[in-house]
Amino acid sequence: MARRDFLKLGAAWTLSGAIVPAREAHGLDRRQKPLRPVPRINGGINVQPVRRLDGQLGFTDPLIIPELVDLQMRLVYELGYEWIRITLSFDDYGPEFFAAIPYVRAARALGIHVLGIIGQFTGLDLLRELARPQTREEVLRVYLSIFDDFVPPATPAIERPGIFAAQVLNEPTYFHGISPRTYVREFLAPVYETLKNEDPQLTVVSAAEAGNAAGFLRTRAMFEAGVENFCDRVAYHIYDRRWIPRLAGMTHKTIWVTESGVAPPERHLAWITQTFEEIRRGIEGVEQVFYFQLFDTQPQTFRLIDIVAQPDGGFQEVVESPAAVEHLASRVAEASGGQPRATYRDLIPDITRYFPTEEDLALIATTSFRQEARRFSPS
Amino acid sequence: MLLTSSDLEYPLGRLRFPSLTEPADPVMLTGFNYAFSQGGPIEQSFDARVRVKSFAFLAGEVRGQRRGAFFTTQRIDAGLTEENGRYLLEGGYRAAKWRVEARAERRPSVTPPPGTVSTGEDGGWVIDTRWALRFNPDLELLFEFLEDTEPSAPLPTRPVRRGGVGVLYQRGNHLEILANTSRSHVRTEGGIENEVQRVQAGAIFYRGGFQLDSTFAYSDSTGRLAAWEGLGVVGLSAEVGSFLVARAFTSNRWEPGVKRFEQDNRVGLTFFGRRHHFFRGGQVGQRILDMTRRAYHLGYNERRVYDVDGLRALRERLALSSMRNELAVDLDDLYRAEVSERNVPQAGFEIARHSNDIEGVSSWIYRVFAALPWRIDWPFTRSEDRVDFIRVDYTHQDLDFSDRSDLARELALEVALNREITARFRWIDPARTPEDVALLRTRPNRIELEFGYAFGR
Repeated sequence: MARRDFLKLGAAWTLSGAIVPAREAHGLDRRQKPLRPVPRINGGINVQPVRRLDGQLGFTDPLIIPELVDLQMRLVYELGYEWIRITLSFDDYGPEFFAAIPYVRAARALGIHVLGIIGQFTGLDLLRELARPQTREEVLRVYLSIFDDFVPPATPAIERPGIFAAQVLNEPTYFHGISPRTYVREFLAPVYETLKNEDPQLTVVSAAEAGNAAGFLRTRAMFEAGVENFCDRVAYHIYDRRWIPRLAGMTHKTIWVTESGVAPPERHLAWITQTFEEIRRGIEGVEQVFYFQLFDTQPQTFRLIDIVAQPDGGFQEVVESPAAVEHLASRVAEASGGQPRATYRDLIPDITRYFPTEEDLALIATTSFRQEARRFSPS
Repeated sequence: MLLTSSDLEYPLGRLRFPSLTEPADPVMLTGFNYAFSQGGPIEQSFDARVRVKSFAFLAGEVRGQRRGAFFTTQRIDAGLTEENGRYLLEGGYRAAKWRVEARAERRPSVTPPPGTVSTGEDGGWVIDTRWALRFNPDLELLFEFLEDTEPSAPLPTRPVRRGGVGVLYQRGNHLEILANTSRSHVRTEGGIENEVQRVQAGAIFYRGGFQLDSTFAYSDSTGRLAAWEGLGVVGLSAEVGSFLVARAFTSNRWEPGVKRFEQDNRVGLTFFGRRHHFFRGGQVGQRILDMTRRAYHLGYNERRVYDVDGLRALRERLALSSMRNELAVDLDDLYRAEVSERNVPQAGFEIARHSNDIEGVSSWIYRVFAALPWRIDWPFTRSEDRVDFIRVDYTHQDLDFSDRSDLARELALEVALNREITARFRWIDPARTPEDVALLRTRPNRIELEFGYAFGR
């Protein structure tokens, strides 16, 4: 990608400049009190780092369509989510890695916490790099520099930006074919040690296995191998209520249910209002539950919304789970207490300012993966 | 009329009758094996075994980094093995009405390198003892006890204490029942402790050309990783006519209410170049039965076994006894029956399906083999004076992992120069698992060569 193309995406913006336009958008001077943001009271949700809708992957230009990021982040903000969980797909620092950057930075700027999956959608590239001490440190340092670095809040009304937590891979046996024991011994343990050396305050979450019968057995195998000794939070995926009593009592560690959902959409509301509560009651130590998920390409299953391309080149959400979305919105309205709140557009007038920066590229260019980074460098 | 081995012609000519009761003068070489493997580090191994008069067997082995020495009499077994600081002491005593076997393994004391998950080389001992009380030639009461002296060591999941009781009933040659129960205190690799109660029952049933071998077990784990697990194994072998044997096998592990998570299913068919015999039937079975019962009445404690190597060990032990002259005819007749009812497989295949949902792998396995008897003859012909000569096995395994698949192949050539001398060659092309790819583990092709001699086999 040539420099001018990248500049179109706002990649040359620096984060330090983000806060000033936000103030200006409000027409605030330094004595006026900014509107408070929407309250974050609806837990966590999984968000796909969607960058294009047309299935043109690879390095097709534009690499990241800003409106898609904007749309999902606006919904996360308006629906009052406290956490998002998002895949930071390594991909040799390829397009999917860059696509996650604006989601993470915008969320944190909005005060939304981010659980980033250090993972990869397909292939074993990341696992190869994590297996070797030299590349493991290099890769994880880049992850933390880009995603765990300070992000200025989008408004002074947000006291602190959202925190960043890291999950080490996702459903490792299901997606990568490595056994639970190998995951714990060869990947989680050394990655945990490296991450904590880099940032002792970072919350490190173990991978969960798939939320089915095989996943339950693999989860138990992970415990046998000592998963809870190498993380700050253990993770479960729950898509079936029958696993709740079986998962109870398996650990004394704090638990994050990093995926939980149901299909079809008619069942979403009951899942969110009743099953989430059943999970919290049934499994002692559950601290977070992340709904799966805001958007994906499978209609009438788990997603809350569909995204439809508009003739003018924009995108529009179509609510696919109206009861659940209405429930979430009503909780936000109730928590807002009738007070005016800052709109998403007030806080994020231009999403591209959270896009990858020249500094990001420069950082990657210092690694052994600079070959990939050159594809984005000025020509 | 029983054939003696000297009636048969092998590639190396006729074989003298291997009398085990003739005393060595003063020592006699009764076996050795040499093996060489290449593919990764080159490894060689050698073991040899001698009989000292009619008193004992002495044996020694060097297998890669492992070295061992062994001593066997009719009553006593003893062995010491060392490998990279890991010691294994083995001992056993066989009285007329009871038997005890004990293993004591000492782990080396090694500090793991920083940044690695400890493999728990802590210098502890694992002591495993097994006792058998014999009531009559058919019935034994079994006991076991295991203790790990360093139960807190972060080793792979293992029992740190186990006690069990069981019973083995051998009714004639046609029925064998083994039932046992044990209670274990298990410590997982991650340091979680569970109590595991296991109950197992197995039976082998043989009746005229048909053998059923089955095992059923359940284990009930209590503790943080509570689980109820079942195991069912059933194997069937049936003669189809006199020269074909069909086999089917299924092994399943499951957790009720969760799923069946490990399966191993196989079917196969083997064509034999001479009439097929099950060891439990025919003359061999009758000789085993007669000899072990006679040995019992003479004050010896021998369980009935039904495989070539087990029978050789049984004959060797009894040939060391003070009653060896009284048993000599029985021992020789058993050997003659084994030779007479030898099986000479000529061709066969097996198709197997294996899956393990916890490991995330499934595979189809295809095995075929073809053999040439001595004297060389056309395939799929039959003759009663045949013996094994050359056999070629090929195994093709298609493995499926979550996001990739791979292929493993193996070719084996075995040449039997007579019943006692065998040469083997194996070429192995292993599959690369996702773990191998991710962990940058190479899996070079492997070649193995082995040459062995076993007197009286």
